[in-house]
Amino acid sequence: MADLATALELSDAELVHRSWREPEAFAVLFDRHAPRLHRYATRRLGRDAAEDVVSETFLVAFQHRERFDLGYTDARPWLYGIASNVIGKRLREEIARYRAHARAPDPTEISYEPDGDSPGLLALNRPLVTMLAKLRSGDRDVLLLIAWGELTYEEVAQALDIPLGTVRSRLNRARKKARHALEGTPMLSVMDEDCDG
Amino acid sequence: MDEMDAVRSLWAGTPEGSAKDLATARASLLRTCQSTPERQEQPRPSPRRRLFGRMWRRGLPRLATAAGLAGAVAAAVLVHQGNLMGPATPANAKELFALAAAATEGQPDLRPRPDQYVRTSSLVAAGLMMRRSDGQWAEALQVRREERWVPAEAGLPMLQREETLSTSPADKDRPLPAHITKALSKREGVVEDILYSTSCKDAPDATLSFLRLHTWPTEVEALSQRVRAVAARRPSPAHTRLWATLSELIRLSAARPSLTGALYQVAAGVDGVTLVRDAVDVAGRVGVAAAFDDGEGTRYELIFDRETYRYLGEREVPTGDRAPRGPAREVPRTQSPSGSAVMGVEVVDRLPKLSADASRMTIPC
Repeated sequence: MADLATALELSDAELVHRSWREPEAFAVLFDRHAPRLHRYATRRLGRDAAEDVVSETFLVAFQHRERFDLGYTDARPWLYGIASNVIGKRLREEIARYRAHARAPDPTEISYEPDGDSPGLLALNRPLVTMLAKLRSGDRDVLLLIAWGELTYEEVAQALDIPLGTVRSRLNRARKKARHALEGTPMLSVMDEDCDG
Repeated sequence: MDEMDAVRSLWAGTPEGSAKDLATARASLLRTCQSTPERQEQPRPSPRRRLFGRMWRRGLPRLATAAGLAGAVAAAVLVHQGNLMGPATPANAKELFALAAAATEGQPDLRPRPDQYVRTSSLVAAGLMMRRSDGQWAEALQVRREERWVPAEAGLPMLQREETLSTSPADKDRPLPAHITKALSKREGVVEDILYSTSCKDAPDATLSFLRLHTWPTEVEALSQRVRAVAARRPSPAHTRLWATLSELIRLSAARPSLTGALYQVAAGVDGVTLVRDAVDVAGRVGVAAAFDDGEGTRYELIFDRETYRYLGEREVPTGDRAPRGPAREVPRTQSPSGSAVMGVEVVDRLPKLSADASRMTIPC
């Protein structure tokens, strides 16, 4: 790229726009967001799959960069939306990871352990991880994009191309299940349908 | 700590991906970036597109089906002129060809001077089968860049340039023989030039050369007759000749969109052609394809951009539905999709500087 220093100062939207004429400008977007996306993917699928998720996400994003709405300056919702689709194709892998974690008698059996998995915290986390495995995939996407991806409600709506009301209803449903899991009470049956609006 | 804090604490100590973690992904992205041609400036999405985009995407397929071919052509003109409301989605291969034909209307033919050249650049992928020391077959996928400088008129030399970009195992679980990997890797990045010269009045390879395409008619019926006459002389099986001939002509006529558009209309009349909604060309561009299945385990696709309906390239996809006819093959057929992607077509004044060990060949008349 002709002027890397300038590119580093551009907004995400300006970088995507620039990559129409200078494809390599997209690499700056990668350097900006891939490390955190890798962390997000690692938490959902484990370290081994995270690199594939990041790679596929950015390749898809690059190939469809003309579709990025330049009215949004921040590309994170767009990238995390693509990543959600990529992760969604590995649904079984994700569920198996959560179940393996929930079943493991000792934290050392988990290939990539959270720092906070002291025995005491693990006792708290296991029901939560079990709950994650049982969530509807749409609810899990919303919950984890907010909790782990650090997106706002509006950004999640943009990422998943769903109404803001659906984000709220999905998050509300997921939070209730999380609460029940933490309290040790049996979870209620599947909740109502999404409430748009 | 509420339930959201508890969820946030799960795997909270996971570090961000390091440069080492991301090296392969970054290299893969860069390779794709570097093999992607620069695109023309596009208008920023209008508010109208953002308002109606989703409705348009959902509603159009039904409309297009009802309206038929004429409606599809009209939609294509809309897309070509402004593309304000998102792409039309063809319902079948005939509609796709109609949209592609309409899209060529605004593209002028290249008109090189007699002393100039038409330069084409493409990415080509091909599978190579090789036997390992354990007797098993392993497949390599080779990607190379191909460039051609074809003179506007006969008498000037023609240059063919090829550069192998990568050779990798098609299946990670079946690594290639080490000595072959070593030999192939030495060829990566090496530019191989072949300069062809001839004293013939007409272009060599008389049937389907760039040089001769200017004599082909653009009137559809006349073109159809000529294509069928050429197809009848091909050695390939009778049921595949017409598609193979059209595919080759479409690829070669990139410098003459007026002919390409007419070829699409001829192709729309080929029986048994289906629509593939998610086809990926050799350069990794996702498009929509018209596909012809030869019934012997291979599907031949012509891939078009989803929004502009410009021709992107062609691809052969092993389907494995049926074994090929004829005697059993000693070498198994490759399982990787192969094909070529058009990366650029332009008029240039002269040939580039030849590589140091360029081959020179004279084509007899």
